[in-house]
Amino acid sequence: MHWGMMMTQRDTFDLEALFEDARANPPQMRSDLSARILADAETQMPRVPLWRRVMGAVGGPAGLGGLVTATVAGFWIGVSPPVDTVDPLVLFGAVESTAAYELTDLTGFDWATFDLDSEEG
Amino acid sequence: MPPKDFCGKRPLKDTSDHSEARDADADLLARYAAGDNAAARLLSARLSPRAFAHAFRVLGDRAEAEDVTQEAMLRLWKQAPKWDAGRAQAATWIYRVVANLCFDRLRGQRAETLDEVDAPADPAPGIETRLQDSARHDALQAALLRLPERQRQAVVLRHIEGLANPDIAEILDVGIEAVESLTARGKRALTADLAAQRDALGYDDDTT
Repeated sequence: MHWGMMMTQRDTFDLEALFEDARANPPQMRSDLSARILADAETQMPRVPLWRRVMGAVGGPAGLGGLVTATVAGFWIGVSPPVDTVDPLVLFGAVESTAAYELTDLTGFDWATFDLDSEEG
Repeated sequence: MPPKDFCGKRPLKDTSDHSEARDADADLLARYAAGDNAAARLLSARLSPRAFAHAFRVLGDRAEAEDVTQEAMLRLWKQAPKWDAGRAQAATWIYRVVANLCFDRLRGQRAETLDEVDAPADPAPGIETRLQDSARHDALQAALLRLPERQRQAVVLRHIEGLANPDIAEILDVGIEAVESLTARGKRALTADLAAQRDALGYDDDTT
């Protein structure tokens, strides 16, 4: 019986304990390997054209469509403002009102026409 | 923090972990393909240590394992723009590439050894000796290197990397039954080998 027990002990080995030890101590990568891998990543990175990056930034075709719509609408409101538009300059108190005849020159603001000095004095 | 018993069944957790990891990796790969350097760093941090650990255990040589890891990651970078998010989990994909590169290297080493046998003038050390010299000198690693290649890969993936059988089947390109058979035979061979080593070298199994 003693011999039988010895045989059993000889034939077995606590493999699970060794696996556990191996799991707890994985071989560590050296940092220069990480550097090599990242250098490869940079070399292999697809060159993305500028317009695709811009498209990505604004949210794809839908975002671009929105931007175009907003631009056109803004431009149109500038060219032909609705009659009852509240002028932001009036809200700031810079001018008392902007009548249509004062806005004939849309291409360049001529601040002299608003005569800010006399307003303050 | 790996679970204690890898033979235990964790189907639900596995499934959700898998799909989460797959989505995260697919997202990172898409970001990398769109020119995001940070995504490359995250992917490398997630995948390359596992690739290296497997290659090191299977090849038993640090320099070889480093080359295999770099090559596998290089293939991932090249694959990124064409990555099919629904198809594979990046970790499984990387393990598969690493496993195949390891097979190639081991086959190459075998051919080299045969050449050395043909040329007896060169007393180069045998493959076994070289592997053992450069491997970590622990008993398990040495015994792993004495296993047949497929058993070695299956045992490392199952019991050290802690993967599930279906993943291992995909990585080694065999059926699930074959994985079970490979790991069972591998474990039996390891046990016998280590027990014999313990008796022959007279060291105690202080892990019990």
